[in-house]
Amino acid sequence: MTAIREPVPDLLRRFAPTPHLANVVIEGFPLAVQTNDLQIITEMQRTCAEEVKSRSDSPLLVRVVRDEDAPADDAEVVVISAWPLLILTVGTGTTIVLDCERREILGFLSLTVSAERFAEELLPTLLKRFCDEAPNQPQGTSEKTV
Amino acid sequence: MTREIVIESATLPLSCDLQVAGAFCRVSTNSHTVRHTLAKWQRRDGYRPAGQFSLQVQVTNEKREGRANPHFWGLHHLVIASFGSANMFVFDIARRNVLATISEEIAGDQLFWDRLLLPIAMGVLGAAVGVVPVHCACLAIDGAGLLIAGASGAGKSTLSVALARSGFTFLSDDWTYLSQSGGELTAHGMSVPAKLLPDSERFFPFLAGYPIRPALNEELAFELPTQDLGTQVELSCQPRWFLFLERGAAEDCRLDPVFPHEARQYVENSVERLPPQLTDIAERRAAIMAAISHLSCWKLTYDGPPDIAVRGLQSFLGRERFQVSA
Repeated sequence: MTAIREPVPDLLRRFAPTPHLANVVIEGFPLAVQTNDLQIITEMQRTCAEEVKSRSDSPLLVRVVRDEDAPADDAEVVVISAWPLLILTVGTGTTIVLDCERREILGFLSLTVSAERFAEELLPTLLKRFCDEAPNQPQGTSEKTV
Repeated sequence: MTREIVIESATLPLSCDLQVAGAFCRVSTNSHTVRHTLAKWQRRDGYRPAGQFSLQVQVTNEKREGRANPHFWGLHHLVIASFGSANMFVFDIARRNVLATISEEIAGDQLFWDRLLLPIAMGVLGAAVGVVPVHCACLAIDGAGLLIAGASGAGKSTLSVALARSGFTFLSDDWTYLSQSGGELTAHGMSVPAKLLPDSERFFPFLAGYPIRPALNEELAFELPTQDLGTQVELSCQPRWFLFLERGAAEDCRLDPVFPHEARQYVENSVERLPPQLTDIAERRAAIMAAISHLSCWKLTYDGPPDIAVRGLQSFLGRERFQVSA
């Protein structure tokens, strides 16, 4: 039957491999990093070298995909706070989301955002906001979900 | 410089309830424009949804920017859709919630909501709210639904319009949303215009009165509003048959049985693979797909004008319904 079609391709890049792994501490948070960009691991390990003490034993998962097809525009950084999500965008092509309840940082970076900028500016911005917001929010389920 | 946006109940004081392809959607927003634009989707009395999700829309005046080409990403339970730097949607599948920051231009863009955002929302969140989007048309006769699937270019829309013009009730010519309750399947349409390629004018001369325009996928097409089909348009029905449309070599019409596993493979291949973080949702979706594959499944082969298939189907469905009533 020719109507049976090929499976839908991974248009959302959900299954993009992230083979490079590292465990680092940034802004006091232990992070288990997975990425497809080795440069990100290098930069995070360099940033991590200056850290002294971890706030917690339980690491946050950081999964970041370098997306070469993302729109390569550069614009202001926008942080959207919508508990339990903290969303950081840079233009159209870079979005990083911290899910405070699930303790996961998931993101896609365009080519215009360097690994150094991610490790030294964008990720610490989200983690600092996490410190500010988490103590004031209900734990467990979100008030805003249906 | 970093710009900050806070989305919380205090910043979204307006709300409205929508019904979208089998789901109930609670909208919270700071914009009267959004509420006005979504008014046509307002929930009707007696509506029984398969599931529900929420949509939080904050309209910002920082940028006056219309719709740009979309870019999509997904990781774990999140899907992100960007339509330019001022228009971003985050679909949280695990929490059945959509967060959006958009410009005033997008807030009032009816076509954007009707043809892009709400269908995308059902495509992304559907499985989480008990609704499976299937790439098929849906028509009905006496309340019994007929799903018509087929490869791109097989003629789903042409046959759908021909069936509608011969008295079948119209739900959809492209995507149909299936839910299950109490063991019974329900098919839902979104009242989207039928899209006909320019060469279909030879079968439907009345199309000469309609412009050919680039559709949302940039393909040149006639877009025929459902109210112009000359038949009843419904938002839901109980599907009974699942047809797989193929073009034949001769001007005739044949119907051959299709095994459930073939039907199931078609449905499974028309939905996106879900990540391991959404296993429970994938299992719910699989149960609905199994039910779809147990409809009465047939391969419909025809060539020539769609009237040939319409006559063949009318004859076939007449026999099928007679057998059931006998």
